[in-house]
Amino acid sequence: MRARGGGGSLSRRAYALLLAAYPSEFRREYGREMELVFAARRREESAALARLWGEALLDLALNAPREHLERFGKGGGLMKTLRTAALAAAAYAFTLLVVAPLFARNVGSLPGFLASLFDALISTGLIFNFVYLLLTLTRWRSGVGAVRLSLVVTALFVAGLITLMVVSLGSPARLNFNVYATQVLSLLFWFTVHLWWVRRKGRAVPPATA
Amino acid sequence: MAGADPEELLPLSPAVFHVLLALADAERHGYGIIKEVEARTEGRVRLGPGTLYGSIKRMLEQGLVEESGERPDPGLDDERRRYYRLTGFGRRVAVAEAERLSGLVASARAKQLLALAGAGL
Repeated sequence: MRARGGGGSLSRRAYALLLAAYPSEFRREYGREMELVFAARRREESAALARLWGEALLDLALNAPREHLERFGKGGGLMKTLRTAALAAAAYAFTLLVVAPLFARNVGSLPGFLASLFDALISTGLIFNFVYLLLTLTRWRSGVGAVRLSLVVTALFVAGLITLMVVSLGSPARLNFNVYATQVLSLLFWFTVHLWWVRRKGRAVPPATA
Repeated sequence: MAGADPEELLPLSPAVFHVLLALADAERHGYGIIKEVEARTEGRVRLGPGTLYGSIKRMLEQGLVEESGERPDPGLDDERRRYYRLTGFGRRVAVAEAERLSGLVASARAKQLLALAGAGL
């Protein structure tokens, strides 16, 4: 009897370790009871240990990923997140493969300021939108806070790039004034577009809690 | 959930319907539900702990079941176990699913599929 009880205890401990595959909240809520169920089965079906473990492992393989997916999807919805990421990837591909080459081919025929402005809108847009997506998809920031932080990060990034260009060009070489002005205008443009978008969304969707 | 439409939750997954059936006539703890399902299906359905508690978690969120504070016999029972019971809404959902399945069986019968199965064809 002692040997059998010890085996049961070992099995239960091993099963408790496997429960680490579930999300922590699920484990806290149901882990103890799942152990009790496993232990009760182990006591009643000691002759069919292989079957018991086979079922336990299959049960774990099917349900632990599901609980993780459900947890990930809560709040915004997994499909919504994937759809946003896919749309962003398509927009980036279109910009890099169609818009940027088209602009490069026609930049010579555009007036200086306009050429700079298009250039800034494309480059700053790519960075600003990437930062914004990163912040919102990871749920690190949302709404106006995400837009503000995107502006700060993109401005720092662009300032760093311009500094690098100035340094590499060497003194007394200087960048055209248009570059500075259009970068600022472009930052303001993307900031305003995102701000308008999140405020519009905020008005359309009532808050979840009163 | 009292005003919610049971039809919105249909069709139920087999695991959820089995849990609802197990709780239809008595409050039970997790292992009690597993044993009832196993006995009722003559061992053909064996719910694993992950399937059972994953279903219970979602059923609690949907208001189909609730935890019961009472213990049928505290002297004989393990106090660490939680008992679950059907809510009124859970019972209405179970009835709606049973009616849906009954309609399907009636269709199969009308197509003589059940008669064919009975004859071993």
